[in-house]
Amino acid sequence: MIQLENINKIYNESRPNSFQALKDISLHVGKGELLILKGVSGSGKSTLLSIMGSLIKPSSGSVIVDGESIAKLPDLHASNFRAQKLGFIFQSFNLFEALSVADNVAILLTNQSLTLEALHVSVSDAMEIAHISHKKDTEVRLLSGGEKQRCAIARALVNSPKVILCDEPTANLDSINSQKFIATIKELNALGKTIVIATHDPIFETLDARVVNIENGILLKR
Amino acid sequence: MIFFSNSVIVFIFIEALLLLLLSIAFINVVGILKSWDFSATSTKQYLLEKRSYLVLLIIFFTLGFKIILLPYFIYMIDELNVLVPGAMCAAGVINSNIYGVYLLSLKVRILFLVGLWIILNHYDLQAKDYPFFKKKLWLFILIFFLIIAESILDIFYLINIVTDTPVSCCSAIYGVSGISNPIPFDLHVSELLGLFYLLYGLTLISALYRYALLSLFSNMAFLYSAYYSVVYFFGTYVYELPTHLCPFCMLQAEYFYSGYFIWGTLFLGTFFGISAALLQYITGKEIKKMYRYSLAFNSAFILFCSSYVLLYYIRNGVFL
Amino acid sequence: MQNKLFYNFLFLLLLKHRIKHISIFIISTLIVFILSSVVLLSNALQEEINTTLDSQADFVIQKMRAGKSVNTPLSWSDEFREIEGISQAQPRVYGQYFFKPNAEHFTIVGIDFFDEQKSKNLQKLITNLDMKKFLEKPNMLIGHGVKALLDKYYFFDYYVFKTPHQKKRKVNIYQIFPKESSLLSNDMIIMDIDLAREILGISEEQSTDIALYNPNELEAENIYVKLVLKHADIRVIQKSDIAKAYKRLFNYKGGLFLILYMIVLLTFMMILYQRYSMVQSSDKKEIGILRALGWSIKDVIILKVTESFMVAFGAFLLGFILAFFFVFVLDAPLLSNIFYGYANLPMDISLHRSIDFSLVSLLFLFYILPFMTAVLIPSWKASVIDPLEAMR
Repeated sequence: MIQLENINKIYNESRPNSFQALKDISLHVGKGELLILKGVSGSGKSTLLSIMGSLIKPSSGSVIVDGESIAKLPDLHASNFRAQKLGFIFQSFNLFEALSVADNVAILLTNQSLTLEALHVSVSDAMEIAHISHKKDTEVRLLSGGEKQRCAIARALVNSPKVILCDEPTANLDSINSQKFIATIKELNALGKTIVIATHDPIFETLDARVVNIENGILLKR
Repeated sequence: MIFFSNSVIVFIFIEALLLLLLSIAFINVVGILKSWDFSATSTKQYLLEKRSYLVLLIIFFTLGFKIILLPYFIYMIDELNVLVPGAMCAAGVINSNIYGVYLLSLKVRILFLVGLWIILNHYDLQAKDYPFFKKKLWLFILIFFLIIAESILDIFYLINIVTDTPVSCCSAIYGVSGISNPIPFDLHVSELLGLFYLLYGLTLISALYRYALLSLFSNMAFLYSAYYSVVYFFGTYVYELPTHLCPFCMLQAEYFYSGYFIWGTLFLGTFFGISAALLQYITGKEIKKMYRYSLAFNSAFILFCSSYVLLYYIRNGVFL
Repeated sequence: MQNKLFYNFLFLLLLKHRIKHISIFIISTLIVFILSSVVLLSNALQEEINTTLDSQADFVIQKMRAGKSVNTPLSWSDEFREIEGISQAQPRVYGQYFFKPNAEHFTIVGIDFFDEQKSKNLQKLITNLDMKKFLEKPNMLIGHGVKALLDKYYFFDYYVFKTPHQKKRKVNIYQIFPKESSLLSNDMIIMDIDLAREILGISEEQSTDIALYNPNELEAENIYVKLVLKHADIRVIQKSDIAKAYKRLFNYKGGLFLILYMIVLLTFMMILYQRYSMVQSSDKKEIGILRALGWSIKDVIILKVTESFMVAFGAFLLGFILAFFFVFVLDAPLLSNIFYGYANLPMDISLHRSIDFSLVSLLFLFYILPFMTAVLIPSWKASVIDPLEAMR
């Protein structure tokens, strides 16, 4: 599902403060696989995740996700790719605090040519899977941390993505909510989604998943 | 001083602002063209791609306004006729000095290129590797210089509109003056009409079977013949007066602004017909939609014009 | 393509950021209000003058001596009647009467009440007049401005005019003109033609000028030529000349205002540019989220530009409605003085409501385009920020 070949990423190239975040990384993630990218902060795991999500373009190397080469897509197509195939879950939820849960979930679909009905169906389905339907009209700022996380999950699911990318998803959660999150991840994986989680939280070790360690921009083989 | 007319002031102000924006875009375009390399993965290239969005935004915005401004310009000129002695419609005002006709034809040409640019941009963004990126920027540079020329002509034209000596108006300008026949190639009106419908048939064939080259030439010829046919034949039915020859009067409220529809459909129909061929040459692809639009607008134009004649005949039992 | 939800989202964002937009909204509303008021007012006045001119004589003949117009002999009017195309020739008597107490001028218009009145304006003023009663005694009809001035000097029912021969003439006030006609009749006094001759000192064989009517506009040029050739000391004024003179005057005043106004607009554009260039970190974060979720740069630009457009459009609507109210309901206090500068007496008129589509679109273009021009570059800048950095 995700094929990375010889990825290099250099920030601020040809400048004194240039910095190589990723060095010659090759990685394959199979369809329906659950992968954990493990590393301390600054190890390059977020950069790698962003390259998979076409948020950052690599300095060299090829990225193929679901058969599509995304290493050099123009913005319009990169965005379209994210909107069609990816679900993002961020460390700090990144929700619109003043909007309701349903509105937050629907944001991604606003630029798609969908009928309103299809849109409502997608939104309520996503909220159903993420167990947040009961709060759909509540403003996000009134939610607890766990509920916010579930809202973020619903938002990541609304476009029925093939790939879900999580960046430190449990950093702002207590252990109970972290456990719940892991349970949800298992459910999603069971639905056949390919999931990549960048984290250094040991709680994920309980998951039955492939773990890849990353350190100073280099993948460590186990 | 015609310069103090409200609509003229507003017009000049808007043109100046748009020119300012276009200049900003132009500077950026030059910078982008200089170091554009799509295959590069450098930060610089990605910054250029972001910068290209500014250029696109400005071009879309200004060119969009240009499209609105052409009818506004004609409307303004039409309105100015009260200030120009002898002028009864835009024809008198346009012909009140030598710049007017060139200015108007330049404006129409620019509008044509703008339309071409917008379509080219659409196909460029649709592809994943900016295939026509440089071509569309060069096209923009061409448009930019034409717009500068247009602005200079605008000023020259508006300054030189006479307000004290009477000018001659439409029927005197377009009318048959003595021996010389105003219709090119010394054609009789009936010959002109025959040619007109024949050329329409050619555009029809070229659109149905998508012959690019035929579409290009038949539409250009059709545009040419249609202009004269409207002025010397269909117009007289719009005005219901055989001696009233004018391409502008029909834009006035008395004739229910039907001129905007007549000239609008003619422009769009021939525009799509000609640019279908041009785009096929530039992009190497055949764009079926363009032929369809050309067919639709050309047919709407010809139906609308012919219906005037037909309705007149049904009502009065004779032709003019 | 943006769907309905996009606009829903846009409005939610606008509502949320209303504090950020409110200052711009207020300034914009004010700017639109001033611009629209002036243009609406000048247009309404122009319209009023146009309707008045419609009923004016097609030609006015004056006799000239030493570059000044002098009284015209009545014999001329018989001569002109013979010219083909002229339907009527009417000698007119009118002139300025100096009102000493206040050092102001009244306009006295003498009317031959037995003649058909061509001027629709005068017709309107005297329609409901009981002719017999009016002509029994020396009576007059007066405008509002005249009435106010006479009141000031306690002439409530009559006024005593002094003829050039130092004779006193007492004339009763019969009626006051309706307010709607004030633009032209404010300083006007209408009375019987012979009475007017006496007060203005015009002899019986003369008139101030001669009004000629010509029903066929296309013949105007030919008639003009014939008239000019009739006498060496003749001046012929065409109706179209008067209309153009008025139009020029209004265009000139409006144009001067518009040029001043452009400076205001340019300043406003700079304020806008600065205001929208300041992108707060919370805004950045929002854009970052949208981008990460799959909004393209184009989508964000559309969002930002539409957001600004909504503010601008809302301000335009509000400003325009306020201006409409100000001009047509309140009759544009203060502002109207700019335009009435040429009248003798203070004006008191109620304006006729007239808006045409072209006027609104002119105002709209003139305001929206500078506004959007100023926000274009800031919108782009905000849209292309790096999503990852913005979310941090």
